[in-house]
Amino acid sequence: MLGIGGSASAEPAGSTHAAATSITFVDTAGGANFQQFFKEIIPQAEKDLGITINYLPSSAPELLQRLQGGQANQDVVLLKPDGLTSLTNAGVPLVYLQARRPKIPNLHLVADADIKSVLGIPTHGVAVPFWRDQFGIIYDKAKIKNPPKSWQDFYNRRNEWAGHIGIIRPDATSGGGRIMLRDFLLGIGLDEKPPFSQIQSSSEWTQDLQKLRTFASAFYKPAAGSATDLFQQFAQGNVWITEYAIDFTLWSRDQGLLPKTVGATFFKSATYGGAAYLAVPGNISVGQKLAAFKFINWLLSLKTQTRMLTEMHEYPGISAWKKMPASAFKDIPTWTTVQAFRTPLENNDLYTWLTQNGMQLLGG
Amino acid sequence: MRPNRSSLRVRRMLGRTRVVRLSTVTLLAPALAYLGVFFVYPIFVTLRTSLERTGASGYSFDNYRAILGSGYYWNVIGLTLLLAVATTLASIVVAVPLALVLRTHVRGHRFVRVLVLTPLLILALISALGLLIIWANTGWANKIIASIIGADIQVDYTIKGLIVFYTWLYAPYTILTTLSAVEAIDPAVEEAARVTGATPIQVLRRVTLPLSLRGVRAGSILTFLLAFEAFSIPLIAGGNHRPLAVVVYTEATVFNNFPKGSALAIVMAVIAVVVLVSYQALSTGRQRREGRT
Repeated sequence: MLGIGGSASAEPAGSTHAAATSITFVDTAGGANFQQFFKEIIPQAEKDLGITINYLPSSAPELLQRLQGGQANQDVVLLKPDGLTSLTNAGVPLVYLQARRPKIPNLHLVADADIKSVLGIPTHGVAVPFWRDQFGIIYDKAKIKNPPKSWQDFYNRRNEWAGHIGIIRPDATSGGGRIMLRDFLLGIGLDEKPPFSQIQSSSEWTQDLQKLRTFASAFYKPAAGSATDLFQQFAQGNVWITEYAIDFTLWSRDQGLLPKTVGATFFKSATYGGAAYLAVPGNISVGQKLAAFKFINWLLSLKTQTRMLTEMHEYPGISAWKKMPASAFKDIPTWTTVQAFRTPLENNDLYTWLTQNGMQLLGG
Repeated sequence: MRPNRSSLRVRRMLGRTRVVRLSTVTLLAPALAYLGVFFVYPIFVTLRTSLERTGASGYSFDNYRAILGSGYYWNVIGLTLLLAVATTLASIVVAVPLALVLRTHVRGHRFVRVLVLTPLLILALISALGLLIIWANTGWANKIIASIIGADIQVDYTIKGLIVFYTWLYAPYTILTTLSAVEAIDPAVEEAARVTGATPIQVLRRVTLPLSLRGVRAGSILTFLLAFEAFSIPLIAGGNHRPLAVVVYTEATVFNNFPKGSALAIVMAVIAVVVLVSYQALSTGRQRREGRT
């Protein structure tokens, strides 16, 4: 087990320990849609694996507090990139999953590139992607016939939709708002690769922020407190366009929470692509780890991953694209298309800064 | 040597005292254990966390200094108190007349009693969403009022909207306790006042209202506390108006700053206690004064 960059230790080789009969699965990444999804699939996992799985929706800061407090009852955790880095930056030991290939055979379905780094930080294989989410421009086709083609185009034509551009508060639990601000900055030319201190001291930064403030003046006010709130603003006809997660949007549309006229388009650059990672805290017993590996293997199975793609409109963590049904890509672009423009977070400090200062940029 | 009678009596009395003490301790033990585990310990942990330095080791009052020295947090505290006090007053204004009408068992009173309970049966989050929808500029409640007053009104994401939403959700506590106090008033007392020449208004002011004050007070305390700690409604329907509970949540779960979130939670608890104690002292003093006159 290790924190990122740490050294590995493991349950005894050739261990004869029996897997535990009960584990806790802590989900810090799923919204309402995935909380519903897990409630549906977990009974099947329990049946298939013969173990009891306690499902616990939580948040990364809460999980970090528990782990730092020494609680050893979080067996499998699901984290967004910033949640994973907050754990590893805090030195929380995580099991080196790559060394457990015999225990997690479905790991061979995950591409090596997807387990090497998160947010530009090498992960050394302590986490594997369960899903890969994709943002897009969500708009009401009944109100907008000719959606913008790029962030620059969106900025230039902002007055066409003044007062109807939606955003979730950048300091909300949902990361949608801060991601939209980050994508806008990237879309108008910001390079997020240098250290944030270097970015902040550049003259371009000041100009980019000014442009962001100008763009924000065309936003619907107040900013939504949550994704549900944003969708409500859509349903009321107050918001016509925004950037948000495709999976949650389409799922919400399927549930009748959004008008049927809501569709999606994609910019060819600066469009966030994220992931949710599975990890196993290092402080649990050998028996718990063995049960955790069984569950992770089940979650990475072709069956579960295909179900996620077809029912949740979410790109799977595994890369067995040829085995996925073509019908799943009726509502969302193929992975090859998405991969060309998706822009994962690379600068956690920039993201944190936007979380803390985003509301000021919006003038709120 | 045989003990004399008085020493036997003393021993028996001491024995009885011990039994009484033992049974008192036994009876109190579950409550004390409950308070210790679910109240004192969590408060202690929150207090300790609030003194931790963010991103450094050791303890300090830095978080409290940052909160109390910031205009932003004072505004948040002011907004939280404003919402709680306004909701409490609005609840009393709704509760007292309603209780007076319901106790006469007018036609349909049973239905209204059930209706009053409705907000308590629905999850606050669902209520918040529902209220947001019906009060939106395209919502039916908003349209009806706009058609009456002849102008568009903005309810969602405003302070007045929050007061309306809070009152809808928390007034039932004041209504129920007020109703129970009003219905407990012996009709003979009011009758006696009438027989001795008091006008209906005098009966209401001098007899009915003072006798129902205990119920109003109990209910308004509950309403105040719930409104002071409200979370779901302002989170969903507050817009830029974010009271303490939402700010505590944001500090802890979005900014990952548990020490500051804990310090805010302690500040929140202290304010609630101070307001409650003052309210109790004021209303008890008033009742005593009225009792003397």
